[in-house]
Amino acid sequence: MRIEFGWSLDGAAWADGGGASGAARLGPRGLVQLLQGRLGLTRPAVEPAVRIAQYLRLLQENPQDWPARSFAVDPWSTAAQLLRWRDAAVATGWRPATAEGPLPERLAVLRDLERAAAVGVTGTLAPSGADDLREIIDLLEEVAGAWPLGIEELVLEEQPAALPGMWPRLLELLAEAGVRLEGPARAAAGSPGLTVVEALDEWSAADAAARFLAADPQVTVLAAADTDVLDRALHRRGLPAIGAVGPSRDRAHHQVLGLFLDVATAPVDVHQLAALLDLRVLPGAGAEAEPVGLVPALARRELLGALSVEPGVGGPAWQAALARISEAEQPRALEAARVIDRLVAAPLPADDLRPGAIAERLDWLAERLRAVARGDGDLLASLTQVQVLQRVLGMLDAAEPLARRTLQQIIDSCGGAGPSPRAVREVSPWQVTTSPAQVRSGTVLWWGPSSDRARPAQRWDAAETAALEAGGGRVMTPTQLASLEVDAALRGLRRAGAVVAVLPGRRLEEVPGPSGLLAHLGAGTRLRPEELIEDGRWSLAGRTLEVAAPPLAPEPEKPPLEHRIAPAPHLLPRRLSYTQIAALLACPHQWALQHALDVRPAEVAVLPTGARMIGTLVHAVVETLVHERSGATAPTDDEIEAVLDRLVPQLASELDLPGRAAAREDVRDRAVRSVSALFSGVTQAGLRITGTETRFELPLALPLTGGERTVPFVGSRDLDAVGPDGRRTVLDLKWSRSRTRYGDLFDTSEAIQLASYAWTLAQEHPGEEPADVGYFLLRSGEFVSADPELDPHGRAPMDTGEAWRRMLAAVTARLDEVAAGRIRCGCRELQERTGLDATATWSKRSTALAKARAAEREAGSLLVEDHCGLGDHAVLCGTTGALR
Amino acid sequence: MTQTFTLINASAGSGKTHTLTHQIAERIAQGLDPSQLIATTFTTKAAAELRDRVRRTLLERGQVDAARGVDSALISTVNSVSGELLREFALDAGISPDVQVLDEDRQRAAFRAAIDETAAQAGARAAGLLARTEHDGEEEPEVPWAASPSWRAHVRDLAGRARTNLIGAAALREAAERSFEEYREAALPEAEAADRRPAWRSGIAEAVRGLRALELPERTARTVDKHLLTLERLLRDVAEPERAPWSAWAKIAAVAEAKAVDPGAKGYAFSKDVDLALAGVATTIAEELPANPALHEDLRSLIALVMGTAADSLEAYQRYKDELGLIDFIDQEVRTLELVRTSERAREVIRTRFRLLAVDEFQDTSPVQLALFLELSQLIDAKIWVGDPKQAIYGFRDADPSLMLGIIERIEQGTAGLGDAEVLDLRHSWRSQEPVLDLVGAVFPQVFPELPRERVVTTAAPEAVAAREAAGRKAGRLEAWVPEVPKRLTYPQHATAVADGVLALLREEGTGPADIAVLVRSNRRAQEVIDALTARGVPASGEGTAILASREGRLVRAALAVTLDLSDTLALTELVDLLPDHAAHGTWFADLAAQEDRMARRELFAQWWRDPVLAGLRALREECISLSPVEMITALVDALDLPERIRAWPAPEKRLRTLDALRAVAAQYADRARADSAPITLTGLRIELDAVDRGPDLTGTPDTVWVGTIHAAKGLEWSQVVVMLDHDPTERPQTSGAFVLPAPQLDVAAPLAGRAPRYWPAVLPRLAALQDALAASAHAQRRTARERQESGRLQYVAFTRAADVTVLSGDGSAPVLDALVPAAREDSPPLLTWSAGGAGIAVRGGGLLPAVVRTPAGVLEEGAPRFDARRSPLAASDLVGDRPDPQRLRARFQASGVGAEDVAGTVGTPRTIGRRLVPGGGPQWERVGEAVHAYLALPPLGEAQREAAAARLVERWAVSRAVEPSVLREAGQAWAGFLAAEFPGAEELTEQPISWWNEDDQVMEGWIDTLLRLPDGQVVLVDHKTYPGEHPVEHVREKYLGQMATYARALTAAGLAPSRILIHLPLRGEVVEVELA
Ligand code: SF4
Repeated sequence: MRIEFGWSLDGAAWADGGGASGAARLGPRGLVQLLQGRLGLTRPAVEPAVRIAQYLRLLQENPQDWPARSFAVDPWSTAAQLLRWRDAAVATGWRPATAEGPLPERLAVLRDLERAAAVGVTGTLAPSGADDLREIIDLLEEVAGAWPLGIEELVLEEQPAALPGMWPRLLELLAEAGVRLEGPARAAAGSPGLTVVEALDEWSAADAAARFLAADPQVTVLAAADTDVLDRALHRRGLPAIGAVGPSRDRAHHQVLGLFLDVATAPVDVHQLAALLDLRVLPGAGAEAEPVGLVPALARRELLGALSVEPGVGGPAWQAALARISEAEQPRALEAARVIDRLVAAPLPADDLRPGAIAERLDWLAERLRAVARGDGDLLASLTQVQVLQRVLGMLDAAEPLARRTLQQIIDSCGGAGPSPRAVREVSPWQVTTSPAQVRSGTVLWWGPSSDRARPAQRWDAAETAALEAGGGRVMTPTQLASLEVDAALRGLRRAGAVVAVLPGRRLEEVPGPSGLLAHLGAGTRLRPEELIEDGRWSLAGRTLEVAAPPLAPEPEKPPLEHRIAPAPHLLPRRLSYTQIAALLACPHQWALQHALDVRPAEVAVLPTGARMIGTLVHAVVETLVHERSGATAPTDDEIEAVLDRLVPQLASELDLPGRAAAREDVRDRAVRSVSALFSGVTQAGLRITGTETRFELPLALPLTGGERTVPFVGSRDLDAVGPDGRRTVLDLKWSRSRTRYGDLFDTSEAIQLASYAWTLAQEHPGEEPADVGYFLLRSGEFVSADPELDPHGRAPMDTGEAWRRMLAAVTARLDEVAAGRIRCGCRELQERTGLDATATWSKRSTALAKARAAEREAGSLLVEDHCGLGDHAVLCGTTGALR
Repeated sequence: MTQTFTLINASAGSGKTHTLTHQIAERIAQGLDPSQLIATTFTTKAAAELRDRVRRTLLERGQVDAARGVDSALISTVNSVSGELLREFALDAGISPDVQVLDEDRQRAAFRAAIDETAAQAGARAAGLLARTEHDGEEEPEVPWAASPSWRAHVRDLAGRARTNLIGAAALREAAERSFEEYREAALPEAEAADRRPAWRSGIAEAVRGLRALELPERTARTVDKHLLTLERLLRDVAEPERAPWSAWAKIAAVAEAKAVDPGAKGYAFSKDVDLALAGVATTIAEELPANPALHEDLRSLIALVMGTAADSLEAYQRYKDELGLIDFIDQEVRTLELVRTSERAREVIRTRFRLLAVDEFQDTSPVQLALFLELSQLIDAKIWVGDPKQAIYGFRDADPSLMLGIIERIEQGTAGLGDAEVLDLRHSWRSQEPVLDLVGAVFPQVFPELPRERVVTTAAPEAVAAREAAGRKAGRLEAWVPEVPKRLTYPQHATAVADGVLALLREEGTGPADIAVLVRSNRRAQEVIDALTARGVPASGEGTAILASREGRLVRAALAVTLDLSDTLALTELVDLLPDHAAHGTWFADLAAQEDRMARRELFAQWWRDPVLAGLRALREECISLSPVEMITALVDALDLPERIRAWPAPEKRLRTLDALRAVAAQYADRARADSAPITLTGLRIELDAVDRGPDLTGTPDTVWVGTIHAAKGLEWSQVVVMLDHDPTERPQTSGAFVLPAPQLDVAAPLAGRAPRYWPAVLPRLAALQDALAASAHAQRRTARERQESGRLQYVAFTRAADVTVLSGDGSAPVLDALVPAAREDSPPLLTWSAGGAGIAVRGGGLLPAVVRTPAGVLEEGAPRFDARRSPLAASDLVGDRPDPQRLRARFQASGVGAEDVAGTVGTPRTIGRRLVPGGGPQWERVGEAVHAYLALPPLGEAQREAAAARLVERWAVSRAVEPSVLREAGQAWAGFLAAEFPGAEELTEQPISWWNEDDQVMEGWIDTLLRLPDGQVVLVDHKTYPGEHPVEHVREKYLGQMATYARALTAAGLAPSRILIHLPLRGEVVEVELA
């Protein structure tokens, strides 16, 4: 057997073409493996996390002074760091266990731990790569050449003395065992011709590289940077991908474990819970199918549904969801739902994370992953991660609580970075390598040579170096180590006839510096991508292609202000709610898309948060107080607070998370003051609350041109009350920032929401005098009402009847238009009318708007201004559409 | 070795990096090893550049060996140098070796989380106080301009300043009383004994009653009514003294400053009648408010609350970070400083390891950094520090140019204490032509009067002049622009004029957009100029169109949404609307409206999705689940064929930047989510993308005029630079907030000594008397002066960016310079003046600098000429016509993965060669199999060696409970016996590497277990398989036939065609022969 051996040859192609037996190119890793096989020194692989756990135990059992402070703050990474040092020290050839005499403290710690350890496959510390090499050397020394290795020749890339640590010794022993050592050959002198293309982004760089390959594929591609973008460019040209795409843990299935344990730990974060429920880990069975989730579809749907109503756990919606799941008789879903319910009902306390308790909770996850994986490699990797974690946890003291951070570190060390599905090299006419040292000959296309520096080599200080050397170690200087890599790379590059380097310039908005190797190849020719094109020809380093610029696309047209289509009576609504009416009045276009044409954004599992969540919470507080209390007095602050505290975990549980105390304090302060203001205002005004969230569904006749049409009008009223004189009042509660908007609507009699509530009351109680209406602003604790007891502004009562009539007229007119096939873009049209565009200042806009509203009012109609400008449909009417 | 210290004082354009790299190369030539160098820079980009420059310089000088070792030098930002040292000496420092460094955003979040409880409790206790002083605003308000101050933001700010200045919790607590005392002395009269608020209130109530009783004409009555509502609300507010804001009183007091009381004032506070009615009480309040004892008490308490909470928060934040193993940028430096001060091991290692400390951009050093550099300098022999105090513009990050000046002073006095010290002044400009330098020379010696003239002005380097002449470069010049506008110049008009002027510059032969930069004061101004340039067809860089406002950005967003969830019909419709080649483009609305019902619409959506133009997305939908966010964006860009599509759109280079920015958004999302332990999912990416409101950074796009702030221009240069001057630079009054008092006498050797924290709240910002008094205080004056100096340095940076042409654009003068260099007399002209038709820029007391004066139009005429930007050469494509879609094969394959389906062959009957070793499997059989396999892979050995190896393998594979070493031996013996009988004289080669390219050019590399070379030259292929089961023949046929066929073909290709193929099943003690057809 003939082996080419070089420091940077791990991963190199074994041969250059055709086929070969008995020959291979190996780097240090490969050679060690080969020798282990030859010498009967193979062993099962040990996960790094397990070794760290072993070292951690050693440190616990043999406390050391020097690292004690760090060990107390961060046991896991202190153990990991010491272990790295230990492995690096062993790699020099030093024997920690037998080192004698006083040592520098770092080495002394390593020695003490080593003496306590039994290093070996079955010992208390599993061996490292350095130990493997040590063993090989020891065995070779022991057999003194009397072991047939079956290797005839080792062709060296480097002088043995240039290699670090024990390597020169190994080579010596191999020679003694009869292996012929060849080389190294004299490095090629001179420099290959260098051309550097300096692009400004990856796509134009990829164009240059892909064209180069398309023009003549007889090259070696040196992929120094991620090739995902280049690979797409190659595929567009029908060329094979290079597939140099790195692993990462940013993939859905690598999120499983961390997320699961997060949810299992108190306090439960409902957003994390929702993410876990929503997590999809495998593609669906076909292009149209839903991807497969970790949690079975039924359980996912129901529980997420519950969370989006009540962003907390254990509330009525959550219970109802559980009940529905158990009725559905789907054992898998039920099992998953129960596990999750148990998980969040009795979460692990964050300050008492015992390995045993954690490991136990992982059982279901492991089982579920096995069930879902169906042999899928990626998911099996997640499963392995869970199993390694269970192993590591099993090695730790079951009763000793782990810091949350330590647990996270353990999870991270249990692996989890998975290969990219893009990391597939395809059969190509060109050679591919990722390391300059592995370049053999010919023309090299060097993709993305940049200066991402490798982790600096382990450095030993002077005293340590002396001690290591005294103990048989061989320590190289950082400069020697740096030139070992640089020399290997330059040897490879100098074997090339020509080097064409393509620099993407920037990647992910950062500009990596150029590779230091480039400087060694001389100045070369530097070109920008635009310089490669002349008179319809693209050329680079002697290769050319025809190119042509496509004709400029016409500017996209601005969508029309109104759509004219065939009469569309089938689009008329079958039900109406206040929201729908408001949408229709504000913008028929938006209404049509949303309500009539089913053009909607996907329902993502976004839980209510911020103002919406708090609004719901405070509404619920009011509702609960009304239901639980009888009597005419207003609730005390304490009562309000008690109700609020009770509802927070169910309706706004995120306020209980660490870091939210201030927000919670703020909500509590405002809510208590405003709810108390609501009740005391109502009481003072002599009102008696008769209902909250009262639902209604009443027939509403619309006198359309095409004939009268009766649809149900549906919705609910926040607060119904009766005055001392028996007159009804309806109040709508708003959690809104604006203090003037609602007063303004009221004063101009355009509060059509209040008008419609008054109408429903009139329908429900025919013959009574029209109800009183008003708003209560929850943020500021103020009423908007004509009742001076509630609102001292002295507002004139709102003419709800008139407002209702005008609203109805406007709705009818809009629907007539729809039926006739005319659909207008509300706010764009308004803009046109007022002559303002998006850049107008706020004050100009509001003046113009006030004018427009007044004009409509004069004309007996009504203008509802609400634009979805930043909303989802604005892109289709052209307001935020992409015209640039 | 003697200590040496070189301080290079490098004015703008004077070849600073060149000097530094040559100095370093020189030291290396004298024996310095590259690994003995520490160099710090201000940014990571600068670090990469410096590393590259050092390497190139070494190569140019023929120091090839040193050049190869450059990667062992520690060249980095101050932060990462600190980080590296801390990591290495973590155990000495007693910290976690795996600390996570918080970036600015996360630092903010961590601080807030850490002080959450403390602040919530303190805030709850002080709710009334915070309401009265109106310091209860949101910390990060949604609508910032209308927000009231947030005491928590003040706490954060104060704590941050305390930390950068190494001020501890105790010092903060102690300073509270001093802060209040100084505030009181500056602005408050002696407190009165009685709280007069009840009297004020009745005064107002009376005025209101009076107003109500007034008989007024209708128009005035309506106005008065409106104000009455306000006043009544105010009366209601102040009726609740616990929460009534002090500003309510100030609102009334404002009447005393207005026309009704002071006839010289501009107008009324409310309206004439209302002001008249309030005049009396307003005067009383105005007089008495500042002396109100409750106000004094509130101010004192508020200061104590903020400073006390800041002190508590320092401690809470520290605990929080310790628990989570977090560290922020400030900690990094502070901890490194402590480490270098206290750890003997660290000091010793630094002393022996490093021999040169180079510091670049020294002027931007903060006090902690200087302390660190000084500490390192004690240990490291040679020092080269480079900087320019005139270019220190990071005051807001605590950079302090006085530190550099202090060091220079000490060197010159010979008291630096850092060995042989010298100051090297670089006096030549390698960048700019004479006219540009003349302007600098006329202005900046006056801006920096404390600096010797030769450290402010440079002269053109003769070599550079000669080189320019040789290259035939045009002579440089100055220009001065006066925008032509009908009335007072506004900023948007100025922007229009700048664009017009740029158009004029572009008309000149040989000038392209990339030669020009426009420097402005703020991002807002930059946006105006970009818009104005765009309106004239001049391509501009700076921040580009917001990602989601660009076609490509919208397409990617919509494609992501649809691909993740087909129910997103809005996104699907948007795709149809954005893709002109989609079949339903242009008709979608009518098509959809024509559908009778929901079912029909659903079918139509499905049909849209199946359009050929969406084929890429359909394919992606199946594989996207396992892509990372960045890969997903790349895939979407590709699936939409954007790289080709955008060639037909205007400005493809900018669009490529949008694509890059999209990927950056994805990467940042993943980073942040990871740091927050939040899950990273594609749905999360979608939500993230929806919230993005920025555009890509277009810096460097070819053929564009660069537009940006002076801060962003630092370190860059252009041929022609337009400086857009501020119209009236207002100085913000520095009367509130957290600040740190400098030491009375700066000691550069102990740059942090003697600093003291202060905090003044922003109460009653509209009470003129109070604010004026505060503004006149020494603290405010000093802070204002500091701002002013910083502004001077900013101007210096702006005026030194041009190589050939500096353009000053403004209303005939540079008010910002006048603020810096006030005239001696009231009636003196501004420092610089120019006017339409003039011949140059007049310098006050210094003659005329010749300049081209232009009057660009500030208001555009209909049909104003546009710049004819050439179409980007990058629009050209090699992809025309149909795209080939060949079959794609993986480049590598493994023999064991080759199926048996296509292999014709037979499996013979098993022959027993020994005992069955593992009956029926068992839990450990896989490992037993591995051990047996490993044993069989050994080369031919002697007895003792075999025995030892067997024992070793049983132990190593941890199978001693299942098998004895003798079992391995037995398997080996059975095999050896079989070989001896079947193939006498055969040579056994174990573990042989094989590589082979198949006819599809796929490569296979692997190890063949055993090759037998028979005496007649024939070759036998053997594989050991650890199958313990009951159906060997079927198993071999199903699982191994493909692999054997592959090996056989590979061997044939290598000229070693096997004559027989055997599979050895050691656990069963059998051999099976395979015959391939
Ligand atoms: S932006 Fe205006 S016009 Fe466009 S859909 Fe929304 S409301 Fe209608």
